[in-house]
Amino acid sequence: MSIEIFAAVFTVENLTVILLATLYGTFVGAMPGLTATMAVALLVPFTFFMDPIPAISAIIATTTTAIFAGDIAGALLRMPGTPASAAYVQDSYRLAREGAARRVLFVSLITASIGGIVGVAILAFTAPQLARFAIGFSSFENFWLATLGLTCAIFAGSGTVAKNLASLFLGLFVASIGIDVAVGHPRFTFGNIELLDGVSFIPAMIGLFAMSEVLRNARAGDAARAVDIALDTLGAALKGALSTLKRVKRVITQSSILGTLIGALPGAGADVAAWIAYAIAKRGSKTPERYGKGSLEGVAAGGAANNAGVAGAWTPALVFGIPGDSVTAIAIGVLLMKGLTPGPQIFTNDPTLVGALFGSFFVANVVMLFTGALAIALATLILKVPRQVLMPLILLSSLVGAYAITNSTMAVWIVLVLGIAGFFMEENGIPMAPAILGIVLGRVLEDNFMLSMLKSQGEIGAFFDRPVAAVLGVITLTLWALLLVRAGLQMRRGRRATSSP
Amino acid sequence: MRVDDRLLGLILVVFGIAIFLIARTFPLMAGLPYGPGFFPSIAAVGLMVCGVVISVTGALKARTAVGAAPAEPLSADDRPVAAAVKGGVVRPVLIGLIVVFFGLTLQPLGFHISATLTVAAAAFVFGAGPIGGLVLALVAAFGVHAVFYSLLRVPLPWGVLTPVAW
Repeated sequence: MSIEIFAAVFTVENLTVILLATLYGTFVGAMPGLTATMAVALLVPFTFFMDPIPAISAIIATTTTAIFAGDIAGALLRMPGTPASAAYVQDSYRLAREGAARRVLFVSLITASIGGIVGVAILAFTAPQLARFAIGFSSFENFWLATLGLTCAIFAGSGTVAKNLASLFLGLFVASIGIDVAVGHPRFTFGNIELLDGVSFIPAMIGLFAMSEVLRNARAGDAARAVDIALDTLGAALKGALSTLKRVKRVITQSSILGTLIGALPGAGADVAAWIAYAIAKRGSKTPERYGKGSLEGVAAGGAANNAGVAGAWTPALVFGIPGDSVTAIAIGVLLMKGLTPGPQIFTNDPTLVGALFGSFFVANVVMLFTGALAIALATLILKVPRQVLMPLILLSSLVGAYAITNSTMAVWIVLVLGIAGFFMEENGIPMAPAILGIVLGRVLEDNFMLSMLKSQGEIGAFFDRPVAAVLGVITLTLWALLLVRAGLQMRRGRRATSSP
Repeated sequence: MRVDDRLLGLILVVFGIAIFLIARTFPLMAGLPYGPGFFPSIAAVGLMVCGVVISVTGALKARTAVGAAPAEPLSADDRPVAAAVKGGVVRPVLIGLIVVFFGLTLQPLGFHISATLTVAAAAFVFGAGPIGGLVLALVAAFGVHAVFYSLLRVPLPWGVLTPVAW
């Protein structure tokens, strides 16, 4: 780590931001039903007023801890605090019932930290190499990359192919609102001057991830439950956790690496990473029968993988400007707001920022050990905050946060409309990740397409003229063919839905 | 609000058609068959196709589901908690209306009054008592004032309170 990067990471401001963000992330993550993405969406208005490095640190520290803290509600209430904890919630809850609640949480805290550090190590090693390769890309390659990113999102999305695609097209439509790049024609603005610039990104994210959450909670009735589990003492729990960790070293390493790789796929976030790492650890386990019934090994596998996935998602985001998950999608929006364009150039133009990002990731994962331990100590207290206090506060923060970005009431309407859209989509099994990628990448895609078309005078074949572009193009088209097959299979399965309920 | 997949698909198709019709009115780029309407049209056609597929899949599922044996009830320990209590649509609608109120009154009434009423109403919808809600609302409004107006210097509107603005 060079001196400048070190100096940029270890400023009082940056360290304070990381500390506060880990506390904030722990709190939001621990709340059942509040996701890590929501935590970040609500944080963004604040990052708007920060320098780029603390802003990115805040996002990273919040996500990292929120993903861990999701396990707190999972273990104590069997309600995963974030979707990323869902894979092993049965295990952690059963273990907690057996009197090992804090031991489980320490296992997931420490594996989370290890997973995060492995993830950022891989990120720091591979991203610059990839960037060196990608620096020669033209609009043709960038077009295919964006397309490939969107295609991955369809594959990784949690719905059926048709629903994932519908989500993507909705996102692309939202991205097309406003003045078009080619001839400056206003699109879908209906005479509204404030929409000419397009749908402001941050209010859109706040709507999709925070407002929709408030609406969902309003619908969910009074699901709040009290913790009825006796907690083990902190000292014994920590000791027990450390001895467990020694036993499952191999699983932690394997899941950390796996989680990083899965996280790097656009559209596959920490939750997918946890599910897959959990399944693979189970297959290789000496005691697979314990999985789902209280396996500390399973908790370690999922806990390491989801935090590794958080780091992995930054690889495509930094190198290609293609977000690996919803959080990095928001982070790209923040960087763009600050005049920094993620992509291979950022590694040469702004090496301090990139280095500081890696550094902050590392620091956040270490600081998390302490704030996480604090949260484990105070777990029952955190879960006592009533929703009738929490939800109105989230609502107001969403609205004011969005307003703060644009200083206009239009932000409130964007939050409302996209909040309703997000609520409606989630309720009907249309995942949001593809839509987010569509909103972020829609403009990139269109800019590069139009630019390429102008270069080649409307000749579509030009998209396959350059060797790298041709390879990317063929990969994309192959994936499309596979998607069609999968969509067909899903339709047939729809017909035979009764045979396998 | 969960709707049947058949209806969901139909909604997407109608939405796609609307986008497509508007996109058709956009001009073309000189000498090129592509213009500002090209990408919105792709999205529109995509939405229509997805809508049809979702509808058809939903219809097939609905047809075969008739007369199917009910799935075995899961034991209490294995039941996913996510599928817990589901309330009605009244409260989400009320929350939506509260946001509309905030949007409409933010400029004329000013942030402080508008935010206090918004939070109090939302707390009430979530089941808080009127006094508790009002206390929460006042604390929230002044907290946001301190953070966003004083600290971050966001020009929150004062509205009718402009004469006493500080």
